[in-house]
Amino acid sequence: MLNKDQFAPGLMDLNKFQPSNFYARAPNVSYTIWVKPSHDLGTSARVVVTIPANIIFDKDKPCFIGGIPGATCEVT
Amino acid sequence: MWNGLRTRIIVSQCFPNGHTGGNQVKFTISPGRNPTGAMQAGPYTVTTEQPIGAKYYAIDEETSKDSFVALSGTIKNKLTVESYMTSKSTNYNLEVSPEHGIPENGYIEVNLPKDLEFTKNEVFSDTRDSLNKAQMTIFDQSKDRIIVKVLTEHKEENNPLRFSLLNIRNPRSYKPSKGFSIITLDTNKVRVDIGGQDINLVMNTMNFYPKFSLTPSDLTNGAINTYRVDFESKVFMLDGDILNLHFPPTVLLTD
Repeated sequence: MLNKDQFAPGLMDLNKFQPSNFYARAPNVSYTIWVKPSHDLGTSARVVVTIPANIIFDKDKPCFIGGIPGATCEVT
Repeated sequence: MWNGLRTRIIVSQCFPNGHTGGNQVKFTISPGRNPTGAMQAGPYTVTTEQPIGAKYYAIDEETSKDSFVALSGTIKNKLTVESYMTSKSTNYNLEVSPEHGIPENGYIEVNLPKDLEFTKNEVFSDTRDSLNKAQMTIFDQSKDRIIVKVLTEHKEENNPLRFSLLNIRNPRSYKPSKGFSIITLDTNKVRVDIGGQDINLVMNTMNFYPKFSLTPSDLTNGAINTYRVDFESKVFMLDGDILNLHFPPTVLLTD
């Protein structure tokens, strides 16, 4: 018998990942991500992005989210 | 899957009206810092999660193969040489302005053009001042290349970074010397910025013969002579070089 911890995630299309600046060590870069989730989501759903290992986000500085009015973000 | 070590960005309150599966979501996160060198940033994972009680559960998830490759930036350079005499061993003072600074324990690699080389063991001196506080030390050196380790971060707003390369033998002619290559590297020796093409070194003073003598075999006026030429040169010579000897008009060459 399955319980809720054993459900595997559904499919997600990762369409594009684009930095605002392509140069190495460039600071204050914005990263735009295009994705297509396969399942419907409720109003309490959230999106979690595990960023590329070689990109640095400072956990002590505020995070900004663009493209989705009213959304908030947090670095963990 | 998240490995517990990488940074995660959690985006909340992003679906005030819910979301229909199959529709695209586009968003921008900031501010991040690109990879420290010109390399692949790495794969990323995006997960949508829905809470059940107090706990969030993954709905959809995918991990990419990669994301993007960071590019090398540029370095502006200024070179002054203490002597512009051909083939003289002298000190080269460099001011380098790497576009993206140099991280702590990063490196600067300077490659000399073909006709230049270090002549002594003493090859490097940093010239720090109030705006130029990066501590540097030699990491590696050969006759035409030096790698300097930057022990404290050099930020781009503190450009230029100043240091001197010592005891380099100048070019042996007035021919412009291009081909300097200056590269900044991150701690893993991946390139960050590249430059050196803006340096064009031109000598303006000929070196001299410390010894030169021309001795005729017969000092009688009108005699047909053999002239013995002896000289020492501080400029090394190569196969195919031409030696021009100009005689005064009172000395005529016979057939």
